[in-house]
Amino acid sequence: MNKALFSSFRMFVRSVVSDGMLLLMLVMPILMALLFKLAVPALVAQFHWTFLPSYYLLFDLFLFTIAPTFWTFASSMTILDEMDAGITPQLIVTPVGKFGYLFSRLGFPSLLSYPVICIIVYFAHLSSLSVSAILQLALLSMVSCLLPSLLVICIANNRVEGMAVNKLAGLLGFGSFVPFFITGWQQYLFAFLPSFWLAKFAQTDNYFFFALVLLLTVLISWGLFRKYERKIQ
Amino acid sequence: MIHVQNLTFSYSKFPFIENMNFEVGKGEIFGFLGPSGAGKSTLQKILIGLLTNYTGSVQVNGCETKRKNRNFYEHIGIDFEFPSFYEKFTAAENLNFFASLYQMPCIPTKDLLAMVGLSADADKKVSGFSKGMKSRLNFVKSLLHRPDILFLDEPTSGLDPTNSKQMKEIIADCRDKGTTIILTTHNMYDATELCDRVAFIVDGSIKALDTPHNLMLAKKENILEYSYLENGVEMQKQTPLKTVSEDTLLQNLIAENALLTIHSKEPSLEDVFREITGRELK
Repeated sequence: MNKALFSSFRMFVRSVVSDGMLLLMLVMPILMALLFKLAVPALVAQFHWTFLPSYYLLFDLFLFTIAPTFWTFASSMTILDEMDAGITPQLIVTPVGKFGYLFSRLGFPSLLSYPVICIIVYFAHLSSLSVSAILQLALLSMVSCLLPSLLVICIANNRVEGMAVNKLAGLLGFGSFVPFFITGWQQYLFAFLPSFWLAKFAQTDNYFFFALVLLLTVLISWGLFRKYERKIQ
Repeated sequence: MIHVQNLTFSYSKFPFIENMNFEVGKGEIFGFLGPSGAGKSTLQKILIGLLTNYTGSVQVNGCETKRKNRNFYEHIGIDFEFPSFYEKFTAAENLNFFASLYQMPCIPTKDLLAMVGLSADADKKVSGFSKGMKSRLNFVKSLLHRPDILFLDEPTSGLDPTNSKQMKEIIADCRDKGTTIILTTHNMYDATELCDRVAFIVDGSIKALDTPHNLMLAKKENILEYSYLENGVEMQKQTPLKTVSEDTLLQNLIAENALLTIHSKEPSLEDVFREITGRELK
């Protein structure tokens, strides 16, 4: 099982490396982290935007999602290419299997993004995040960033459609903004979004919210996985 | 190797495959013959474990396909109708990748390529292959892990006669080595030539199941067709073989050495299929 999974993952890496656009996705998180770390405080100092530091946590939450979002985007584009080329049915009838195939394409990159998120946020965060908060928020970001990719591969049939759906799927991250700008009961209209509870957890350190992120992500992922499973039959 | 009992499957509320039963033994080439949309591909998807929401029992290599584990695919090979590869990579790289997915030792890539006459193209990118070359490469991809059961979907589609013959020889060789082969096709010549038994599938059910020879003998009369000259015009006549002694015209023509042509005409599998199912093999 492991041999098949690792071989399948190696082929994913080869596919990404041989594609200029996807290769750029791998290094993009580091470039963006540098931009955040240098540009935001510079803007505050230059233009005296004194309101901005109160949103540093929001900037950090965005930082948490960069690596998993970009990496799983590369995954979803590779999956769509393989689906378009008819390779997916061939792979799922090998020892890789349906779940193994998805794990080698989405699971591995997502897991590998975890240390990258932690390192990027540790060096580039703007708010006062503790190491344990970074580790916990990185875990939630890693898990919840699977959803846009799963949505893309469920709906789209090729790379062009995938890019369009990916823009829509980006709205799943919109929940992070809500607790910062809507403080009344209306904010709970976004309670179905894991990103909403992720932001609430970042603000309050309440582990109930931590559990809600995981629960919602698992439920939605399971539903999307079943849909994807039907699609590739 | 394959036991199917009371198999029923549906895509909607109406059954698509209903109460199907058959068995396939080790080292047998078993053909699914039927027109497009008859249920052949659905049946193959059930047998290879892609569709699991069926009722009844489907055992392949001793494993109920809806409860298969990853080891299931170590022992079966599948040649889908439409070849698919990583087109940016070479033929050898593609085969090496698929071989790397299996635990068991695989047939060396150079041997596989030699088997289908692609040795010289081992380092050529698959994107530069013709349709026939891709079909041959796809075929050997299904053989690389020496499967016990081989599922072939229209294996000779798009091949020239020489390569088609070569592929049929490899299939027969696999059977001789004990591989069980399921051949899905609507090509009656392939089925007649290769299959030990065939099942006619129409509207999700098996309408007939026997050896091609028995089906052809049992369902349609063999006839004798001959031609002769009558007032300077060539005439043709057919007479059933079993009543040939009663054909006085033929006897007279033989006595007078006046026959132009004479040959027996056996029904093809397609004729038998049409007679049994009332459908065309398209």
